[in-house]
Amino acid sequence: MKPYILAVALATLPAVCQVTNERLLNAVAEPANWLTYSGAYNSQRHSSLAEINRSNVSRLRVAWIYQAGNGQRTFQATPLVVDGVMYISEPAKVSALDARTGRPLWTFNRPLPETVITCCGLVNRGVAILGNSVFVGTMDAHVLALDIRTGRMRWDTVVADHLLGYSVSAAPLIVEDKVVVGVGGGEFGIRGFLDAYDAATGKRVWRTYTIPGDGEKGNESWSGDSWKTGGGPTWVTGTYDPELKLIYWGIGNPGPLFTGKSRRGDNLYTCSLLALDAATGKYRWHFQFTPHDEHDWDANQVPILIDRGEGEPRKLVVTANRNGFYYVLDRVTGRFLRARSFVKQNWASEIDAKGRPVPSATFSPSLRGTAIYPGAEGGTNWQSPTYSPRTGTFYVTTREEGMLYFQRDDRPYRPGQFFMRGSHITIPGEKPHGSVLALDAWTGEKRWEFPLLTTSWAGLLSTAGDLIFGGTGNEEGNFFALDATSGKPLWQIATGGEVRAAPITYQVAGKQHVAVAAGRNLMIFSLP
Amino acid sequence: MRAVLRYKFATVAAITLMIGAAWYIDSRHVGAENFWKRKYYTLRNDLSSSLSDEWYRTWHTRLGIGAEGGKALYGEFCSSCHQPGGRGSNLQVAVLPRASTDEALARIIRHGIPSTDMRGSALTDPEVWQLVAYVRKLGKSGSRSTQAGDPRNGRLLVHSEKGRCLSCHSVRGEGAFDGPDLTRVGLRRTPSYLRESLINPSSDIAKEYAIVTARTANQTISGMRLAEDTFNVVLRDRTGVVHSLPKSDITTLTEARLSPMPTYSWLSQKDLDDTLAYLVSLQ
Repeated sequence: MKPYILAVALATLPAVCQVTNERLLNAVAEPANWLTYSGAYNSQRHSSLAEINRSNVSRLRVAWIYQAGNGQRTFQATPLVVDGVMYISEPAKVSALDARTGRPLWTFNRPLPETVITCCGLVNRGVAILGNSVFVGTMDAHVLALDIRTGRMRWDTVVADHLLGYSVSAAPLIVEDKVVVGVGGGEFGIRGFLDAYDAATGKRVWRTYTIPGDGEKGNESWSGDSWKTGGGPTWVTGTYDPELKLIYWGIGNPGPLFTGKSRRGDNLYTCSLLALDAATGKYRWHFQFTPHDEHDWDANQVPILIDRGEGEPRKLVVTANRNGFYYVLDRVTGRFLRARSFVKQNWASEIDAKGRPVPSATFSPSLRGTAIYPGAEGGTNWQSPTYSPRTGTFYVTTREEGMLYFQRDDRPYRPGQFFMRGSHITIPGEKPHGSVLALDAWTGEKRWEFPLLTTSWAGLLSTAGDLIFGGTGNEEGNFFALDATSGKPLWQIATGGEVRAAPITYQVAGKQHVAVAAGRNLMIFSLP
Repeated sequence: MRAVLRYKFATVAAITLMIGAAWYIDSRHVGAENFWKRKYYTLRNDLSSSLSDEWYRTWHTRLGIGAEGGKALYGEFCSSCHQPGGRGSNLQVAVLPRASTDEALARIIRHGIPSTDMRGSALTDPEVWQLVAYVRKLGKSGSRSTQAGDPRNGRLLVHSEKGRCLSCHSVRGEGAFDGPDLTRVGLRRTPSYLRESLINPSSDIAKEYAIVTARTANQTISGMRLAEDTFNVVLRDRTGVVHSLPKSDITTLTEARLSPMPTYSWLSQKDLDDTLAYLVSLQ
């Protein structure tokens, strides 16, 4: 259907549904579009488009650039593309752009209140789409629904009190007729939760706290009342298995961050992967990567669903955790299958048969400083990994960086203020760097490593052209393509700004395009 | 009457003692290992939640009360770089070029200085102002005259054929650019760091002035690294020519561990002191 006919059809038939649940469930089958934050419900961030491949990627060139408005340091959003239109978010703005030329079709602006409490600046990482609505979270902890044709607001729901430190930077996840929304605020002693809202009305359908309340199972893993300010944020978009009807969501750090004396115990479900029933939000299982964390090792990574194993394929969920280990879990039961370190680590002497780490002597921060690997930014962080079913390989942007962790005792909880009780610095004399790492998705063994001169926050994209797209950090700002089988660099461009987002790919006017946010620009590439 | 006076005296003595004890514990700072220290900090934090940044600023800097507590914090968080011989900038100077006001200094302690080794901290408001007070005290204690030697003779050495310093360095636009500019080196480095650099130049090489050698299939290029990313490196050789090299063409890229600067250990003790006096005076 030609776009203008579609437009006419939409104008005359407001009930026409642009993005149905069927389309979301089969997103892998329509690679011309990029329908969800991680590309599809399996969160593999893999595209079957292959027009751009190893033999021609060296000819890739800029097709168009969209410049973000003022007021944000770096553009971190993943754009979505639906039938030739791109939807891109900034902290106070959502825009619809012609995906071929970059011409804006509509813009929605919403000023933020004067006081916004965030750990790390104003950030928005993307939107979600269902039917005729675009859903976006805000730094003052609202979730909004916009009309996909005009950008006009349909509803505005308050998720939480932003003056307590809550914010919504992650792209929501559509699950059936619900909009699932996670929150940030782990630095401010929040009590984290995951919410589901009715996509049509904005009414809350369920809320599941990531820290069990009084009398609930798991609450005993917190000493005293520490659970009330225990953190456990949900600030990176999770994953959904439509067959099992389970939502998988990474849970962040406990509060206070670096001194755990006031919260003795494992501090469930912080630094865990939580599996929830999609309809009710009820707890199904959890796996805790770092019990009683004192390092800010959020498990806020995008979990990837793959069906692999020895002999009969098993339903797995895999993740490279901030604590420096790559994990393979059974996604039906949550059972631990294996773990393997992917960066230098010295905090665990081993991971036991049940997946519980055995802490080493250098687990806890101290008054004089403890040198711990990985550092507080983790062996990886929120940057999206990718899995290529063609190579059976899990790819991740890693950070090699140890830190001196300091413990402090003396700061009480105050609403809306940093609740850290400690600090950290890069180990003096060491130069943090990173890599794009290719791991055998089943064993976690290293297949290749492409070293990066400095650390990077760029996510990855894999394509059927056997390419891995990635980026470099603050001091560099390259966007590049690697050979997915060897790690050999095939193409790169200096973008003039840090790549602190994940690339996507889509097709418009018969041509494959690759898009990535870099600095304040959204850059789109295609072959000549 | 006497009983009342005695009562008043006891009250005043008790209050004085309490303030003294609080002051003492405050000056010892940080640890909070024992019971009373913890009690004290709990009390102070409860109190502090109702106090403003401005209050701490007045208390610790204008009244100069925080310096003792700041000294302990300095020892813990700052001294590894800002020590005699460390590569942190010299804080024993009357005016800090990037922190002429207390607010500017507090901002640097909190957030660091971008593109330098100076990082931000997670210190609390009172701690930040204690540190400000202590750094100001350091500034008052130091003075240019503490460096023994004759700066006029030092200037002659640095600028003459004897020292030949300006064949690589520069002072106020005079000289070359193969080594760090010395125009304000007395502010940026401590006297003991400068002494060590003269005697043993390789003990700490500023990263941007290290000599890097790139070998490709058909040439070898050595020079200063002007820029580098994962894919490219840019070198400037001794003649000033800029070479931009893709790493895919480079077979080996090595950084010299030895400074290109020769040692000045052959200077007489007097000449060394004079040279140092001149360098320290470059503020």
